[in-house]
Amino acid sequence: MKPLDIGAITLSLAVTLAFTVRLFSASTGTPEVEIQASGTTYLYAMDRDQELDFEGPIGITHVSINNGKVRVVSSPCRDKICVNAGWLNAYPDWTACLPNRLILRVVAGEPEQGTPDAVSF
Amino acid sequence: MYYRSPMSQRLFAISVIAFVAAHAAFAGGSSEPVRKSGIVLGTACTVTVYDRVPARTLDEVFQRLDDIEAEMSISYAGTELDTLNAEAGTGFHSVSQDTFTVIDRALEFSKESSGRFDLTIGPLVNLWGIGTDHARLPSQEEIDAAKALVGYEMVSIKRENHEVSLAIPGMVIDLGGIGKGYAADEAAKIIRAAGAERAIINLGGNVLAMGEKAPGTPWRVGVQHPDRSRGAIVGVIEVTNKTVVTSGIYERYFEAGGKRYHHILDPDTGYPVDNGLASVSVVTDSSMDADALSTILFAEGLEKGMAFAEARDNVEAIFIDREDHIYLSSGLQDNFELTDSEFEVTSLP
Repeated sequence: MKPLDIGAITLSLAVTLAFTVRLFSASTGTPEVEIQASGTTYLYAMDRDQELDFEGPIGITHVSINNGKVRVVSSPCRDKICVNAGWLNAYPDWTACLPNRLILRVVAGEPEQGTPDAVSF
Repeated sequence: MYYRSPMSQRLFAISVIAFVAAHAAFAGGSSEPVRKSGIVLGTACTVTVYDRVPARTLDEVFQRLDDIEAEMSISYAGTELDTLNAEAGTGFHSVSQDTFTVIDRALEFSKESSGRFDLTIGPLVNLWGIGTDHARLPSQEEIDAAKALVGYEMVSIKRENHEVSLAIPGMVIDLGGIGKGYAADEAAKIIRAAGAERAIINLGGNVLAMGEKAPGTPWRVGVQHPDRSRGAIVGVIEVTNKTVVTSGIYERYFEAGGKRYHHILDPDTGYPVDNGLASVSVVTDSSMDADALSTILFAEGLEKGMAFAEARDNVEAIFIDREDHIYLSSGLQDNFELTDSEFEVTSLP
């Protein structure tokens, strides 16, 4: 076997491995939460506990990331749909506070078995 | 000159094939979807495209949604529709292609449903203010006065010039029951023009599922549980290239005197429709049609609404009543997976 043969084998294996890793990581990445507020999009890893405040047109929306889950703890809105959504932990979980112009969405992580691609409401 | 041995030629060929195969696997549908969210049309909208598209495509979709809102919203002053309403009683006025298209279709549905869906419901919607900070229970006198301004028969259109006339001052066209559906259809056009076939367009729960999720694999769309938080479902249907739109009593409402008043108003009584239904979901091709049909079927009630759906080609429906019964149109009998055992799929009484 010549040096070029070894190089071809190595290149072939490396490329295949690289794509395999990338494909695998795309479907099972660590959960992150994307929060849009006041025209800015923020991204937080959900493996680190955090308490976050976001200012919107009607006041402060408080978000908690705890033990790999995220929820809206409080928001100065009338209907509290965002608060009532409770803990969210996997894609495609999401909630929004329309009056305070905030959207919170889990953007990675493995969905539970049977999770639908969308919900009509 | 370098001599390549048969062995090295084979290995070289293997490495090229491995590279091409790996690249094909990556480019052929396994790439991560691109997604954009925003608050538009008075609701949270998310568009997810599962094929590769130019980076600007999602921006173009949201610009289109913004433009449609600026034309057809009556939630704030200065939109094209707000201006048209302010000119009620003063003859014909020209509107944009978008606004005219939706008014024209809304008028057709108003006629076809004998006013169960009425595009001129605006005065009643404004009076109740359900979903706003000024929601309240109006007096009967106020309701009667608002009802006098509701009537699709008092709308005239001229297709050749995109002109619309509201017969008497105070009339208000409200496209809230159809505009989001039109917006979803328009978003799909942009995504398709960009070369993508697979996408989920979710405009505040109005779902348009473009194409199929993967070759031979349909999309799974959940149906909202009427009494639980948003995202909790009672069942799932599988769809390919369909839209699913739901009208429910849980989406916008207020409570007064221990009674809940939801946002689907009956043009005849002037009060929220009260027929024992909790929600109706419509499955069809056009999201604009599904938007209007979900309101019509809900307002018609279980038996007439189901008959209305069955009489139309390519329209399926899911009715959920307030006693946890689920009723399916004929085309969904084998395509509904019940996920909540408190509910029961049953036949019409």
